[in-house]
Amino acid sequence: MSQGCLVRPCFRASSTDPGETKSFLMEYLNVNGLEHFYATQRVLENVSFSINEGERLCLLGPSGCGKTTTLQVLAGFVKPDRGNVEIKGQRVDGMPPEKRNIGIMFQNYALFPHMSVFDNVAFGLRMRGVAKAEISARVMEALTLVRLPHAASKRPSQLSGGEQQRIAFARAVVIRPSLLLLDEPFSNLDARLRLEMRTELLDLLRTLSVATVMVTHDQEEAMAIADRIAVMYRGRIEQIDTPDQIYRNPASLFVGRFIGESNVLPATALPDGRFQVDGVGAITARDTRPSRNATAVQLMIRPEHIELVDAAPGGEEWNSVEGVVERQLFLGHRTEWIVSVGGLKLTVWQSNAHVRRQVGEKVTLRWRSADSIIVGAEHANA
Amino acid sequence: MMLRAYVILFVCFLLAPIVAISAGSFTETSYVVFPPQGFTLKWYFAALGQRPLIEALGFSLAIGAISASVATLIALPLGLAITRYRSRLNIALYMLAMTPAMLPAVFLGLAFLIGYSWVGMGGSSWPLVAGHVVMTVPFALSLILVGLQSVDGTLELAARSLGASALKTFLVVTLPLISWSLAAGWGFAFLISFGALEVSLFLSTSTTVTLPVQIYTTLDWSPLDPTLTAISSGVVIITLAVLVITARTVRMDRFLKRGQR
Amino acid sequence: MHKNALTTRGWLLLLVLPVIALGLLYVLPVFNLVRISFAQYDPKLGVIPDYQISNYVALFVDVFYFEVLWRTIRVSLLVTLFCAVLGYPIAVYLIRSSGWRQTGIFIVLLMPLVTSVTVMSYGWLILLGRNGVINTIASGLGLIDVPRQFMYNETAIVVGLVHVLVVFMVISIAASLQSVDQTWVRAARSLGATPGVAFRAITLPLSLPGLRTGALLVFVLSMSAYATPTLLGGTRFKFLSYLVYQQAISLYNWPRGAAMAVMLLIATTALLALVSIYSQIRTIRANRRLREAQADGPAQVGAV
Repeated sequence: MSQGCLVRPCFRASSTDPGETKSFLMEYLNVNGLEHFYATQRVLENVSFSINEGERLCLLGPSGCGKTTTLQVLAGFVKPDRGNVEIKGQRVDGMPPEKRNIGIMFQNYALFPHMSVFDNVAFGLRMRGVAKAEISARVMEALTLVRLPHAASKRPSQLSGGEQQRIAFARAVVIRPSLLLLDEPFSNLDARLRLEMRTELLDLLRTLSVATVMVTHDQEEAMAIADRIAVMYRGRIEQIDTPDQIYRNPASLFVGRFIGESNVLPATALPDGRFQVDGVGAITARDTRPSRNATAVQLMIRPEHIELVDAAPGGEEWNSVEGVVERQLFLGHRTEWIVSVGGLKLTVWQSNAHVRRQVGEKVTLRWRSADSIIVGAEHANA
Repeated sequence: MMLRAYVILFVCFLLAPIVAISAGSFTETSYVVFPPQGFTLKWYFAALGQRPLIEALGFSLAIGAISASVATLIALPLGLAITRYRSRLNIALYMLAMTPAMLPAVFLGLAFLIGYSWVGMGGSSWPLVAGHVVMTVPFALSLILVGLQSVDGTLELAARSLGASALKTFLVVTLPLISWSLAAGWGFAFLISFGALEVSLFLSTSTTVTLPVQIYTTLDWSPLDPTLTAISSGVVIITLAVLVITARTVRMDRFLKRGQR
Repeated sequence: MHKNALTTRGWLLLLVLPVIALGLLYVLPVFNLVRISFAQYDPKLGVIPDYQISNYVALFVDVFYFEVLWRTIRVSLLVTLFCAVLGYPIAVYLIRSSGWRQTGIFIVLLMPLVTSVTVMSYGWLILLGRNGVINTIASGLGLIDVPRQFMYNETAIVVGLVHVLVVFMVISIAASLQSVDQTWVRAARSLGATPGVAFRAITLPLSLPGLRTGALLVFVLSMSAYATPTLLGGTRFKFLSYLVYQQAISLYNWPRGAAMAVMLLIATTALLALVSIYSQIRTIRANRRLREAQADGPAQVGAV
């Protein structure tokens, strides 16, 4: 398939920015200290991040966390009360949206209902005064890229949800944007189509290699698409890192609970470096906190890291505790147990489904020290 | 079904005077009776021969068209400001534009008469246009608001992000999508102006007489003149035509949905 | 949420012309009218800028004026009542119909409103007059010997006003009926309610806001009606609006006319204020009853 100018080498060559070579040295997009209020409510609090050329960053968080506002600040729809945005080293704060050269794929796609698919995709090029012949060439190229060249003369309302999304994508990238924004790209699709489009979109983004900021509340989407994830909560970025790191080393209780499932146990730091969990005992764990002053902490263990064993294992790197099976749920691809340990309830997942226990049976649980993570106590700074 | 029978009865009640006028205009008698006796078009020709009535009709059509156009031009930016900006003043703006529809017509008429005579009306028709504009802005605005609210705001943001300026976005995206409501708003404003009596009574001079004023004064001294029925059914036909076109463009279900807000 | 995309400058730019136009052509004359209502009038000198409340005092001691005011209020209340009772079923039908039939009923409802009031009144004159169809039918059936006059009384005014104003009631009720979820009605039916009971328990209470809006609109418009009462009520049954016109145009007494116009507005809004205060009190009482019932225990709530 010919991708012509939409793919990266040509895209870069067509750029007229004299600071092009310099921009390799600095971050491609810089967001510094965004603060924003709606009336008296603070919706953004010191939001800063930067991304490199061709990188895909995902803003992930529950609704009301400020991720959409951040996106709107980048797009120029919302003027932040404080902070600034730089693209390729150039401040874009005062710039109206139409001058920023940012491609946006809206949550509801926002395809113009009174225009054909072709006119929708051509819209941005026409606004830029591109010559007619070039417009039709580039529009057809973009439509070919999203595998919908035959839909050019249709109206958006004649297309399926997945097709509309692909047109919205074509419209956003045909202008060769310096930055691509994706607002909850999959939320309007049904579950099956969602998985399909996720792979397809990832392929397209890889082909184009355009710097992308995506907003979502769905952790799986974020992990599948993003190079790095910024987890947001109450207007702040809680953690920004690769999906792998976010999952393995959550920086806060919120991140640990929001990404994946976790058993969270209140614990107290002991002088010997271990942690006392009431009713369970002393546990060895990995402490990733920046400051270790507080003694009241939270201990996190993912359910899939806990194993059900018959006898206590040996070795320094293992923690083990005794418990009683309270409930057993067969869920197909895995089995879930709720095990009561000294008054606390631990969730345990195991994917080898042939293991069976009796309710009330005494069992031993074990997990690696490295898999129990210490995070700060209850969200003091939120 | 009971409800259906009642609706038919009610529709008859609503249409009765209109039917009476239209049918009465065909009577051969020299005074209006219902049901009409015989069938003739002579009263229509007689009406065409009556200079004051025909001139008043033309004047009313002109005043209606001009007032409706000005009212639409005032209502459109107001509607945009109210729907596209977040401001505490929006309620005040809305009240400013909508209250003329709630005030007693004679209150408005007298206010216009006293206020405009300050500047001097001098037999010109600007006071009539001005009064009709104020009176019809609420109707134009409420329909334009229906249109503006039916346009998804992200469409405008999409256009901005693709490089269109605010003005260009309005012209290329918003305007085509609300054109039906502009047309409907204009139509409604025209009808209100075309049928208005009270405000016109206060502002008409001997040289600026609208059709309702002319009919009203004629009714006083020769109520059963069939020429009046002829010209009146002319009014009914014009009204019905504009109304049907307007109703088709508005799609009444949208109008109902607005009421829920 | 996307409203910030546009600048304040653009907002001001949009508003300059409309606000100036409405300010000069509308707001200024209205305030001027109120001012003039306090001025004095002399048949020889015209309006004298000597501001007192004498025009209002004169109204309060005038028995004729009060008679007209009372008629205006009484007839308007009657009109509102008739519009509500006659319009409700039409609103129900309007909601249930769709497409051309719905549009058709809308057009029929709007016809009397948008057609010039003079033309509409003329139609009633033809129907109700001495040579009108009512007389023809009545005498044909032998009910009356001599043609009677059905025009020029309060009944004719009520008929004419209901005819013109019922559309406001229907649209308001229909709008609130539209928001009544049919699944609630079905839920009530499944719980044993007959269609009539379901209507009274679910649909009617939920359509009350629309009924109230419609009633306010009809009442306000009826209070300020001019042409219909003047043409159908004849010389003996004047409405307040006519007195305003008479004072200002026939007698050239602008200050007195202005005072009457202001009183008309005050009478209308005062009655509206009373209604809204009453409904607020009722809401407060209903809430208190609900709280008391909850304090008594859940069984009581079920019985309410």
